[in-house]
Amino acid sequence: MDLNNFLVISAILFSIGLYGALTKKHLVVIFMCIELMFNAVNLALVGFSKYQNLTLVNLNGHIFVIFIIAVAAAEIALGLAIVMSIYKNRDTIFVTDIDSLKK
Amino acid sequence: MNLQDLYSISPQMCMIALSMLLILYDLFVGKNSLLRPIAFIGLFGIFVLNLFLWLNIDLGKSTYSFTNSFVLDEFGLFFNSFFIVAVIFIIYISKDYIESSKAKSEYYSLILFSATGMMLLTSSIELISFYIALELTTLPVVALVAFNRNNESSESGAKFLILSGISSAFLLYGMVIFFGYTGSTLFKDIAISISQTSILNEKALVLGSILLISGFAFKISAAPFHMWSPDVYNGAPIPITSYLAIASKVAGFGIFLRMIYSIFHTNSILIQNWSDILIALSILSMFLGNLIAIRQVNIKRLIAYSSISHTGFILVGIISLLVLISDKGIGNSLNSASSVIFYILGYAITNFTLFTTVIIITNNIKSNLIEDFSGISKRSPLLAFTLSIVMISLIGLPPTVGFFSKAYIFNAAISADLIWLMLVGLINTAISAYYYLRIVKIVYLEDPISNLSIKITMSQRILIIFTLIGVLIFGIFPRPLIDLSYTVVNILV
Repeated sequence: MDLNNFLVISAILFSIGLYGALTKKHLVVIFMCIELMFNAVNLALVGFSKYQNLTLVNLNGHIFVIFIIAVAAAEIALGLAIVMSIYKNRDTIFVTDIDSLKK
Repeated sequence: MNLQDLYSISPQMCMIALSMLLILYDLFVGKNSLLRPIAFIGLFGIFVLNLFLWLNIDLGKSTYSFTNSFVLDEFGLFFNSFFIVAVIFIIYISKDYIESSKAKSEYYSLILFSATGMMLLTSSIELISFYIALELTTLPVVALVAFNRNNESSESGAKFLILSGISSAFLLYGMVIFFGYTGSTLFKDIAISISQTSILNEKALVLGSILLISGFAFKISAAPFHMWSPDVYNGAPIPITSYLAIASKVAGFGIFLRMIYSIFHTNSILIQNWSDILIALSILSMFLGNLIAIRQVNIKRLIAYSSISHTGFILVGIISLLVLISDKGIGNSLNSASSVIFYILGYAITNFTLFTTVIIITNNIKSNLIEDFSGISKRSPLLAFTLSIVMISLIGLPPTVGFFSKAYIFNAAISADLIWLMLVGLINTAISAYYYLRIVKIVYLEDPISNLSIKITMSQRILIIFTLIGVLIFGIFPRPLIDLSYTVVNILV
């Protein structure tokens, strides 16, 4: 195992997440894809701080991951609240139907 | 953590305390009529505290706190006072809106949380604190955008949240690449290591900075990352639209300047790359914003596109700053940096005035359509006059502050040998005159849809006259603002 494995997996995960976020129609699935992008970032961070700085005792990357997880959770909580409010208003959470601002 | 640390971020701490106080007061006491006075008194106190800090720092010296995570300097303190003033303004103009909404204390405290995030953002010099401050800025604004919980409001909240999530992920990936190849999250350590990297690392860093720029471009709504802003501006409650257009955008530019001056100036290849990318973003923002604004019938969407084109103009200043850094060294870029700050100030003053009048008019005629503004001059001469002065300032004609903002930005472009970019800017100024003056025409020359005069309360009248004087007086005597913007950027160089 070396750093490259981590970076390749992380880049693949990030691309899958981005693809999903741009093409999926279900709001909750879109939020899941955004979560996938954040987790790709986390993987890269952990890989970097484990393998890149062998001479330094560097915990910054690990600490950063904890913060990102916390913020992502806050974001999803807000997202679900908004999904609920959209569902109450128009009985659907498919983004193709949510287009009242385009008119 | 010691007392010195707490002292250096005391305005931010007080903002957090104030917003907590408002929520708890509503929960335990529940006298809604007192929330507004408490918010005003608290914000005024924080403003005074901030001024006290500003007067007491050693000039030209930065104090670092929380193991180099935050910095106390004129740049940060200037932005602190800017955001406090912006929040006071937003709360002042959202009086009617708050009275009609059910959740009052939440509204105040969400705005205050978001402003705290912005204040932390412009004084953070470390990646983790920078990221947390950024999310603290964005998430409360998302909640505020969806605050009405009706069809449009929740739709625009969802759009804002999805797109800001994607852009944060891009920004984070860029930050991680910088962390990985430099081994530190501190801006100053990153700056030292990127000044001496090998070719391989340079490619990774270019990739990282492209990702960073796309994240930033989203925050400042530069084309082609602007798609969210018309819909979100349109769906949000109008005081929040003004918060997005003024405070959010200025925070983006603040951290942009901070990052350029504390990290990227050390590596000439990165600076070169940044200026190439930003030139494309700037030209695209100016043309796209102006050309699409011509076709808009809704005033909120028009403001959104006009603010996209203003982003393009501010980017001209940042490009000339980058070109000057790579050609003549960091010391000579002071002029361009101060022109960016001056433009931000002029843009904010003009937009304060614009939103005050637009909020009063739309509340009265119950419509966001520009054609319904017809004949406002017969219904309220003051509003019509203010609106036309604002439009003149947005075009950039004398005797308004908008004229000097554009003049300094173009001056900066010339000093960096970017005359063609200045010409693009001039062409866009001419295009923008069309749709701004069309509003003046509708307001003055067309027949009113009703003859009822528009009621303006005393406090609204005071605010209009106050901001209008600001637009005009700094258009005739810009010296104080210029001096201020010099002092602010002096510390960065």
